[in-house]
Amino acid sequence: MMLKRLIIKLAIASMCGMMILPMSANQGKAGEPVTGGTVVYLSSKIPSLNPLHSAYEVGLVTSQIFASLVRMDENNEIAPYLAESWEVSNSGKTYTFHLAKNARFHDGQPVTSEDLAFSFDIVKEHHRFGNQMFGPIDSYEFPNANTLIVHLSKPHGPLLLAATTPRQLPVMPKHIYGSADNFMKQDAHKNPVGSGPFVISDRKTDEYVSIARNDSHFVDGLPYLDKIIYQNVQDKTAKRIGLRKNQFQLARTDSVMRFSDIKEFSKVEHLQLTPYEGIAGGAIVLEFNNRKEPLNNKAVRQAIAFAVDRSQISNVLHGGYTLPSRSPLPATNVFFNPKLKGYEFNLEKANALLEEAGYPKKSDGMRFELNLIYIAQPFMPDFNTLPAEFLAASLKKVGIKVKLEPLQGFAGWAERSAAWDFDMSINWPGDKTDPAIGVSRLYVCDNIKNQAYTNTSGYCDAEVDKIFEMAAVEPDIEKRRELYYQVQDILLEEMPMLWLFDTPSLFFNHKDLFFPSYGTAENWDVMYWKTAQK
Amino acid sequence: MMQAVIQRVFLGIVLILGVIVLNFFLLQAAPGDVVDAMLAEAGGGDPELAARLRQSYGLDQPVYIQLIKYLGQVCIGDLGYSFYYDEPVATLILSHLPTTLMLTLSALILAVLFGTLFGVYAAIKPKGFFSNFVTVFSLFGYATPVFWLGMIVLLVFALYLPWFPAFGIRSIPEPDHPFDRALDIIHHLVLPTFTLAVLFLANYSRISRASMLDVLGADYIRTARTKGLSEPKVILKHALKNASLPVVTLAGLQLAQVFSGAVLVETVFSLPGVGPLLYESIVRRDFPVILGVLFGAATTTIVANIITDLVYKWMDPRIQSIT
Repeated sequence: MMLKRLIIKLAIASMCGMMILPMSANQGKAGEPVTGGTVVYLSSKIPSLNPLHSAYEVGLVTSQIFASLVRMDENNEIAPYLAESWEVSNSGKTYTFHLAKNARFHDGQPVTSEDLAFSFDIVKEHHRFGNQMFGPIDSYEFPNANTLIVHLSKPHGPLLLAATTPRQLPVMPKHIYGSADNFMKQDAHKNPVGSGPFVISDRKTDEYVSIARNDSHFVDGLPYLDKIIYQNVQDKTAKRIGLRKNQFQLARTDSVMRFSDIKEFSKVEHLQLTPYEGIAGGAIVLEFNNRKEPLNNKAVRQAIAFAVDRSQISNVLHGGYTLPSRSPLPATNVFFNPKLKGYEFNLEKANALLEEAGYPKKSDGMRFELNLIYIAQPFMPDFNTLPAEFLAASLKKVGIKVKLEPLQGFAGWAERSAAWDFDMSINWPGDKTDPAIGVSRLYVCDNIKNQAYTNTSGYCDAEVDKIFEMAAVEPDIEKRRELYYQVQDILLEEMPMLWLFDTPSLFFNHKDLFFPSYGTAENWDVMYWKTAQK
Repeated sequence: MMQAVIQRVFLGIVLILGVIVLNFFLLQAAPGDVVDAMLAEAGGGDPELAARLRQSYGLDQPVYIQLIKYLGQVCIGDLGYSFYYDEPVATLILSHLPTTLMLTLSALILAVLFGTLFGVYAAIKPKGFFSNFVTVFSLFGYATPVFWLGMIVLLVFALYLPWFPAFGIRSIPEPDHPFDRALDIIHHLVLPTFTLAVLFLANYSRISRASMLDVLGADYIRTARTKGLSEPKVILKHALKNASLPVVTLAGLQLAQVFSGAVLVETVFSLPGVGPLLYESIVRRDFPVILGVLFGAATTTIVANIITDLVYKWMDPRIQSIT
């Protein structure tokens, strides 16, 4: 009944011609920056100020407190930050970093090569992707206080890209963090000391965190803002009231509203919708359990891809705010091949493939049944529940019965995913900026593990493994690109999973506020008011 | 008397231990653990790191060993460490407690006070308009889901009539003068307290109306009136004292319900209380915090029940033994 209603809704909506892309181009790059002013960001809970904490919002705060080694500029290219300059040896196994001489921690101590090496080591051990980002680091040389030579055991392509955000490489003062054994349980996390553009000025757990300009920041003229307040609000009604009443000047849409509500808020006079245009992306994917019949058959997987009209998900269910995925890499990724089109919607091809594969329709019109696990309401229904129901309705048309199995919370889903106990699973893996960190993990044989977000689909191909490995150790970006183009072609043919739609990050910001939506969208030191604030 | 108190306290301790053990096993039955939730939130992570984290949190050990360790900790007053907040559980709960206490106590006092007043007034004129109004209002309050009421209150008094703030317990920045700061907090607490109080007011007005009607028909009230006592004296001194026994019982028993109502109200109004802390910890599978909060709630309920018994005895000398 519900599915029927959904299909009717979709039909009506598509007839009404809703398939426009309402995203506007990035506004506001013009306009002179004004120094000063406060921004209140609509946040969720900030449980800790540990720079390696898993919560997204914690990273948004610590990215202002700590500086990273390098950063992304407005053209999404790697630019100097704590490292004024760097050299990579021809072998790709030695990196030499020259640190800014005037860089100081908030306590006045200079940022030295010792601190950088210490930070690499801490991240390697304690960050969720530490091993993938900096695993090959073997040893250091310290020619002087501002120069660090890093020796790798093998060339490692993603090293610089991984060092572009304090979320991944916060450069931490060794003299403060270095004395205790257990990094994750340190008192220093209560009042972190970094070398970033802001310092913590006030914090009340589960209420707000307020940060203030670091007046002696080593980058001239930055930051622009005097103060940023991260206000925790839990209730959606309260969030929306606050957004309407200009109590927040910056918010991520997905924490406040569904895609269907964005249009309404775009009409609020002081608000502006800014899409994220950086390099870190993600996609919602339909993972197939490649071990199990009939999904171990490539033709069946391709048939499912042909059977789902993904443009309907993006254009109708999401009001045009998402894009159907065209490749295993999100379109925002540096190594995405823009020539790829992805699978078209073609029911005949889907049916033909299923017939060929030896799954004829039975008397009830169905060929076989598959279960589908996903995280249940109320967690982001746009990304889980709605696509799941749409998939069930779509696949029914080609004779595949889908048994929906909504699971409670991240943890409920993660347990089933880790046990490989599913036929199909809706998953949301981010690409973590570099495919060697965030993408290869889903496909390579030696990452088939009993842990969510590993290669839980069980796909294994020696050639794919080889290409991913070559691309990871290749320092030259053009050569890496070629390799990733190859692997995208193979995966599109093999379809170990169906890449449903790329997930955008959309922000509402005050129209007088310039919000840097490039890079990793965390460079809030260059966020500024275009008009002087009271 | 003393012996009875000791006996109740002993039983209470046994009960609390039982609650801890039960909660512990209930949590084990929930799918996934804190490491799953952390990694899922961050879009995955290194499986070796996950294993290391489980080891450092002690999650790799058999359940009964975890339980024995936990009980041992609790006995020496250590509620454990929150993996999600990077803080000791006791510190965490204590920092969230003032908000919850302010909210629940003020709501409970308001509910008892106005509930009893409404009930008594309705009982004096059982056929009047006000009496009917109290009955209908009570039913409304009793039947309304708290989160819905909270949402409506938000929309009306924070958006359309912007008299009160929609979230938080204080303004940022806070006013400088301590007096203004107190006013600021009260201003933030008006809507949540009202929402929570309405729900419980219903119970008190109904109970006190019914028991007042009962008492007003009793012989000793007639005696009091024939003695020539003034009507207020009859009502307040003779009738109300007896009629309020059920109200006191209810207030004690309801403390637990008020607390669970506070979980929702605090979430709707984004108050930094124990409620959202519990909710968040359930989502994150942060077991030490969940166990700590439930331990605190169970203890409070049991202590409240013991106190109710004692107050009951003090108010009604007919009750000789409290066991």
